[in-house]
Amino acid sequence: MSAALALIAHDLKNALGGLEAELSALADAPSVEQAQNAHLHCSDLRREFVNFLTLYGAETDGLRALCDDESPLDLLQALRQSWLQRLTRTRSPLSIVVEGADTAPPFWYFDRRLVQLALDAAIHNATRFARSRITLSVRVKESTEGRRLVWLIQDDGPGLTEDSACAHATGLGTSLCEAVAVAHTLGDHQGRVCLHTNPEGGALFEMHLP
Amino acid sequence: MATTVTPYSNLTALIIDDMAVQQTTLRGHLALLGISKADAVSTAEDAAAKIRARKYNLILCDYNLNQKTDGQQLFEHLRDQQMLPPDCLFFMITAESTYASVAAATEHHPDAYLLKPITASDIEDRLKTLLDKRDALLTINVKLSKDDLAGALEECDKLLAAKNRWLMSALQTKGQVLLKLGRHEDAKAVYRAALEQRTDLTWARLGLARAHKAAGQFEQARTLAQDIIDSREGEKNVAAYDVIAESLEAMGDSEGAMFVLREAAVVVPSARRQRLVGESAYRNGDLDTARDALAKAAKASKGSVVAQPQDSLLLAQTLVDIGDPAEALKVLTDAGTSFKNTPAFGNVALAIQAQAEMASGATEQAMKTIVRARETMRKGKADFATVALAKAEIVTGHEEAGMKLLESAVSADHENMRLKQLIGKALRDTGHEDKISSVVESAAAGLQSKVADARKLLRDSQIDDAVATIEAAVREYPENTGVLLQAAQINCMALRLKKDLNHDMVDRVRTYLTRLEKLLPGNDRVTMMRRYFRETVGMLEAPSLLA
Repeated sequence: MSAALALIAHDLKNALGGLEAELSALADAPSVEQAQNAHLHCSDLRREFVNFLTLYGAETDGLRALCDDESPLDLLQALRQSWLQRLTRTRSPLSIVVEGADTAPPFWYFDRRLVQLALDAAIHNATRFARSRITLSVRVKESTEGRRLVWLIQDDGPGLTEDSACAHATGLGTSLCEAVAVAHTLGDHQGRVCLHTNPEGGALFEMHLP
Repeated sequence: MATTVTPYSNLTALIIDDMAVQQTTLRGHLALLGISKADAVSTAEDAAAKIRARKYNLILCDYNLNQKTDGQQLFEHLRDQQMLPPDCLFFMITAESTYASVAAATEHHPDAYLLKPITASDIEDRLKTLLDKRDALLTINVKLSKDDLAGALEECDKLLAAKNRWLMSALQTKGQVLLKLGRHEDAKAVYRAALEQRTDLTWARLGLARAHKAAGQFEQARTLAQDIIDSREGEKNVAAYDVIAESLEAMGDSEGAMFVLREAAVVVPSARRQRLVGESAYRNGDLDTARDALAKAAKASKGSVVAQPQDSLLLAQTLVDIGDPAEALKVLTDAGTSFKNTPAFGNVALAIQAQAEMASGATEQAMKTIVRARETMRKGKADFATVALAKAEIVTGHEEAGMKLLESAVSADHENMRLKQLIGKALRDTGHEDKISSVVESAAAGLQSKVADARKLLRDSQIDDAVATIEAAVREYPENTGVLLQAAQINCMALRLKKDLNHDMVDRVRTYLTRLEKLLPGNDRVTMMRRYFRETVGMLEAPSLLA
């Protein structure tokens, strides 16, 4: 296991410790609200473990994208729906919107499960910095590398402190997104991710898939 | 749990999982989606029984059933036995760690894979997409279910014109329909169009290879299929191996085909794959390979709902041929317990048993066994059972009866190359190599002369006599594919010559084509004959065009 993965395992252990404390408090003084919170943290932790295992698999056996024709917009809507529920449950003031439905291609070939994991992690990251709003969109971009599907997740937070294009953040989410993007190949081309400060403010996460 | 009304409330579901807790969880997820009509079973056997008795719209099956049969074997069995209705969705539930290997090394994919731990929304996501797809393709599938290929093609074109989410599904279906219609060049164009969209589409590359094979361009088909296997996406694509094997066989290289099937069985070591290798190796006289492959096939499915009697029968026959009759008898006894209620097993087992007893010196017992074996077999068919009985007759000293059976097998389907290989082997094994040409050729010649007579009558404009002659041949050999193809063609030609849409004749041709499709599934000659028939009916239905 790489040093980065060991670090993530350490974080997971700490999060599990947090959950343990929550459950312990709950045992002493049961409350529906606390139980709901603990449940939410438990399901977050489970998601983190799935991400961790996916990343571990990527490091050991290489991640393999099993692509099918999928609707990118459907995936964004499904992600929005599940995040709305989570945000409501935590009484978060954040709103989450899907934009550019008319510019999204009707289908694209990608591994829905992996892309969902990656975008979910990226949205999770955005919720930590956004002030009031997260915007999800998807479009096709013609480039020297051919046509690419570009997923965009934008928040209205402070943006990156180090304002370098495609700065590589550390942590499970970004590593996972990178692994998922790279697993998507077409001929000699492969996917990539980048995170930068949006000129209009906030941070902008991009995942390009061939 | 209270169930709300949702778009899925009308669906009936089956949960297949050996863990009671997991069954309850899945039932809970389904209830959240509004699906209250859900049965649950814990074994593949119970699942098969339920599916036989009731029509399900959705099946959730755990891959690891902790039984003799895994979820994938069960799925392929249900599919092969045509037990799954076309509108039934099959979701395979796998563990994170096994998903990649299960999905990559799989011959047929279920409608979706769900990775543990799954949530109600995971099920809903896939359900929604697949039901949308079913609705989008509904008009095409309705036409296909009525065998209206031209209508299905029109519907594909309508969907393609919409350029929506289902464009690639429409292209994929259109390619399949064109192949069924025998329009190879058009099918190639469709697959090439799909590959222009995306160069790594395995289904389109495979379709292109199949279209070349169907057009008789075997070398190109082989190269295209090999390219798939050499690619990252297609290295475990056993269908591509099959295209190569079929192309080699069509070019007369049945031994080469066997080697390719052997490679495919290494890639996907399923019982089904081992069975194909064993059968091909046996026909080609590679008995060691046949024994190993069939033993693996029989072992992999032993005691399971997916077990096939033919694995044990052919294994026993192989062991007799190798000179190990004691082991052959052991295999038959073992299998006898599992297949005691399977009619296809008993009589063939007796025929092989008689051979094994003869080989081990138990002549008296063998004589008794052959009498029992004979009881169940009336007329020879073009199958392994007939050849096994013929062999038993010959080794027990009833040479004439054996030869007659072999001749009747050839007559039943004189163009069947695989059968001829089996018969050749049986004659060689029993020391009658010199009779191969006389048995095979004389039986085939008798038939061919009947066909030739009918064709000559047609050329001499004696249309009714030609039809009567070929019809007599069909009555005598109702399952001879060569005769059926000729009968379909002569009837079509008679329809064209008489310029009369005679409904009896049309019905007859339809019956022959249906029978042919059952005997030779996916065969290119049958496809071409169906096309000729369609064109014939089309011409006669539009008489103004003839004027």
